[in-house]
Amino acid sequence: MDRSARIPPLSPGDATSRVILIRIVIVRSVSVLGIGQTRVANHEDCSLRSLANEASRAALADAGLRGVNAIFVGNMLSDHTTGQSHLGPLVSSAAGSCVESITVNAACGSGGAAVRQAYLAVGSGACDVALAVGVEKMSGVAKEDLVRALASAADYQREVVNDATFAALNAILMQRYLYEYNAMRLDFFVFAQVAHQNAVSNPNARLRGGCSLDEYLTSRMVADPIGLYDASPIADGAAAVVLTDARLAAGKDQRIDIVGSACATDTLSLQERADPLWLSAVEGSTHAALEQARLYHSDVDLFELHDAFTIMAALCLESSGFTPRGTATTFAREHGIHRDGALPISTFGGLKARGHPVGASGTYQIVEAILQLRGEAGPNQVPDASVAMTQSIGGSGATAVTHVLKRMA
Amino acid sequence: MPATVIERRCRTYAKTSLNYCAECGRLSEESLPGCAECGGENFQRVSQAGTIYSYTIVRQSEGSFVLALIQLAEGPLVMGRVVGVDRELRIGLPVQFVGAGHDGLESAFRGVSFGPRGAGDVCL
Repeated sequence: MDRSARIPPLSPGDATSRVILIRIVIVRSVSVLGIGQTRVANHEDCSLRSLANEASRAALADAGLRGVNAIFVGNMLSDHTTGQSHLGPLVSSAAGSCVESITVNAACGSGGAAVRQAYLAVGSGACDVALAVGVEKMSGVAKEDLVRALASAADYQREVVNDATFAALNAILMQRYLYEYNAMRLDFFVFAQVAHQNAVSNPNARLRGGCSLDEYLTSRMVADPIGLYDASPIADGAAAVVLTDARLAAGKDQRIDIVGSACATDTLSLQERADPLWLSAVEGSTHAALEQARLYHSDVDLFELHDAFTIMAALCLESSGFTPRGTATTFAREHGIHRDGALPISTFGGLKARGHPVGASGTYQIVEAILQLRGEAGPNQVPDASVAMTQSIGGSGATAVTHVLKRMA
Repeated sequence: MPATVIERRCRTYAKTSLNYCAECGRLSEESLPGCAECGGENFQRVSQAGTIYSYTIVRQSEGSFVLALIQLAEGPLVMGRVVGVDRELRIGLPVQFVGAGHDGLESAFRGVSFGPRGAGDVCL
């Protein structure tokens, strides 16, 4: 039988095909039973193994489970920063287990991608309990080595040969944004302000000092127009979630399900895109995840987005469809992105202020969304949160992993 | 009919067109049958002229440089450094290709560079 006749090819940008694939694979509901995280900080005395282990143990204890059937480790840089790759067995053996355990690398989107692999493993029926743990160690590495390691996730032949860094690529997007939409750098202050404000009351955040307008405007330029307070801080950290077949969560007080999960990709380089200010992977994965969840944008109570740079927060809001193109900064100011606003974002500080341990950030987003949906977010609580969206991005929007989580009972 | 650049000497350097590798997006003045960067053979001829689509000044401890997306006259975007432009740096500034594999400052640079248009002959 001709295989190609049965399996329609995926054409680029064809989000419909991705939705069909998801529907075939997911045969049962998936709940998030346990969460765990370490502080996001310079853990110079902690190894990758100990960070991952701390978060994993906390997640298992939270779930009330002793073991899992499979482990997915989200990580981007370990071989560059610590000399250690092959993190699957590193993490599983630290947990005293010999189950299936592999690394998932989608650059800065690794943490979200690992959760998605765990979701697919449980949702497909392949296993009942899966652990996703995002872990990264970035401290103690020479700055130029770290910048080079991070830049390896950009297009080498088109971008990195010109000494492009991620700050530079985002700066090029921001400069164009200012030009096309007649905006000012000052307009982006709201993203830094809200993220830093939310991090003040998050004991696990990397930067807890807030950010004043004066600090924002006078901080040194990294790559014009991106200043220090437009960028997220590097850090070490690990976050973990335990996903189970929803039936295992039946006896719990609260049940929170992953009701939508999607991943989409775009060209690796900016120059190949018809419109660099439109993140089509963000658009595709958001719509696929919402469609799977059978929810609308208006149902989303909070959005943990990928604010590695303030410009990314704006582009995510627009490409996800929460606000028309060119209006993200106006939306943020007028409708509100703070905890009581129309669409709270980065409720624990986001990548911007909680910190961006790159391969772990996407898992932190899920952990924080669960805290919100459980009503356990303390001073950071978004009132009456029942649906949360998380979005983890690799590269300059080249990979986007979007999840929709919902409180079921 | 634009001529692909094959002569590397200053005086006879044909200014009208370049090789644009459809595989890796690299601009090249080289007359090789394949792209020096990726080995691709699918060259398109593009003009050397473009405008700055967007840019940034990358500030590093060892000095700053201008990185930009250039929109070539035919439409495609290509990333490169911009050299020899100071206060007039802006989106829309007309620029022209000045070389691959050097930025006029350091020999280790392997990317492509653009400079102000109409600055006279540029020696590769």
